[in-house]
Amino acid sequence: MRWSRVRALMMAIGALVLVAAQFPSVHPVSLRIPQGWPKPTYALSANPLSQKGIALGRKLFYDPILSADSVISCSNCHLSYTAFTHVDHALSHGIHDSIGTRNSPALMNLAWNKAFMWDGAVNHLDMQALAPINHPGELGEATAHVVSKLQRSRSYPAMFGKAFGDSLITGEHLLKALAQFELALISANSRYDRVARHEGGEVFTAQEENGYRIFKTHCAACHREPLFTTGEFAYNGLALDTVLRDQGRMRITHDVKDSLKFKIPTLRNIEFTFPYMHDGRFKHLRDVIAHYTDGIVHGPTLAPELRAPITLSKDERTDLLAFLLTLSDREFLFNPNNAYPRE
Amino acid sequence: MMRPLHAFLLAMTVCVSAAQMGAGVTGLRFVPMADAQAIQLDREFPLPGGASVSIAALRFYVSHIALHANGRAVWTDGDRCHLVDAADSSSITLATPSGLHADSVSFLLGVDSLTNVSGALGGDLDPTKGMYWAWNSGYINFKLEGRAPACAARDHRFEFHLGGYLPPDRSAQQVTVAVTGGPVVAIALDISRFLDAVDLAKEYHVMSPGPAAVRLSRAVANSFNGHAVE
Repeated sequence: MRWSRVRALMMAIGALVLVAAQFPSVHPVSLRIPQGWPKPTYALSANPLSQKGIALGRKLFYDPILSADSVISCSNCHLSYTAFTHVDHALSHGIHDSIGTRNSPALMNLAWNKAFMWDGAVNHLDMQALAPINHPGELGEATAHVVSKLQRSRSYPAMFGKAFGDSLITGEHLLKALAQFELALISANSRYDRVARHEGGEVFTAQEENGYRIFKTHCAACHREPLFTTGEFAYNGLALDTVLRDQGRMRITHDVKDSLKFKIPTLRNIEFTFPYMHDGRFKHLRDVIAHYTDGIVHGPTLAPELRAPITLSKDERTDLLAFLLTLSDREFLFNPNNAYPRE
Repeated sequence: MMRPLHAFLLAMTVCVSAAQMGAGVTGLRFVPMADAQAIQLDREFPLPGGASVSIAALRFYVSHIALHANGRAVWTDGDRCHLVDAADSSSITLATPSGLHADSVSFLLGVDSLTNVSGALGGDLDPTKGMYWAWNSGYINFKLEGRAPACAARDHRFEFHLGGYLPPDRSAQQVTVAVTGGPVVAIALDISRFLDAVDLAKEYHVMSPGPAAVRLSRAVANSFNGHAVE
């Protein structure tokens, strides 16, 4: 077997390292914390990961049983091959051809997230799934009804029993199973990561190196390494969409200081997560860079980092773009363990 | 299953006789009431001011329950949360260690802020109980739905889903009520007192955290009493 095949196989085991199975029936696994990364924000002690729990979460993630018309699953808007976002769709879609008001975010490295949704409406990964499940324009269901459908299904009671020691199926375990699968979605193997870890003599090209310098000067304050986000909320100078009139974080906090602020997204796998911004208004990365150099709307809540103009030459833009492409993690994107479970 | 009214009357009888005998407390009961009657869901009843209402759903959380005697805590239930549901009479009784003497009960009306940020929880806190907001994380501390001719909403239906754990709109309320003897201490939530404090012609939908939810939560907190058993 060629080295790349071996490597692919290893990746197929997932971004998780198996630890000694103390409870053979559950097969606990531990979250692999990439070298140099901070401590996860998710309290794993309250929802210990297991192979069975992750597999159950994965089955649920891809199962349209979570929607009112049994047509749509989480994966409709979160496709594994595009870092779990709805590529080429500006706004999320739901049951009965409904179109939402925001761009579905990419899903990765969620154990490090401090808040969820573009406006931080959700305070914990476990609780995030409640939002799309119950939203009339997304999965259009009611949590209690989803649980009763699962209870009546042929396969789920046994799977919940194996994962949580409780085959009755509860809302708590439904959410915890989904969270386990999502926690396992770790992207930390891009070329950027291998260069940072000095792995196998991997180095940046001169162009990427210059792009990295530009990134550190103009972008890294908000898109902080290694997660490429601070997890905070900021107004990045986008003109208000006059149809959506989305005030972002202010909707949650009712504080004018939060007007137009949205969660700073990670830049990891950004090559694959177009279109960009909370409303998907930019199709190309070049448009995004052009926004930061030429499109900033100055408002009272504008991020301090964006108050002074950013000037980049044509070559500098290309270099920055070259650096951003080093954040693509193909092993994550094409990891069969994250994709639709074919039994 | 014992009907709430019967359960309440039983509790009342036992309380009165036990108080006469001077026995200690053996349990706590939360009783949703309307004026001096135990609530019957979907049954119209008059408010003291003359208006009439019917209640379709009444559910609320109580947590951090403690019994006190002479200003000192003699028993605490810790941070456990209990869902009181007018549709389920078994949801309202709590056993305490027997033989305690107490003159007041304190509790938090609602779920504390730490619990609100602790992810998925089970039992009474399971999100399938309909007491958790999907669109904006946090528990609904108190839910009251019903109909009143005075209510200006469609079909005269009012809905109060009170919650919010973040300052400045933290809605959970600390409540202390004076109680008598035992063995079962009944704490009544007099919903007519709350409804008298609300102008249903003007205010009938409060379903998100904010100043209105805080104001109405205070009104609920002021509608508890332990004297109903005297």
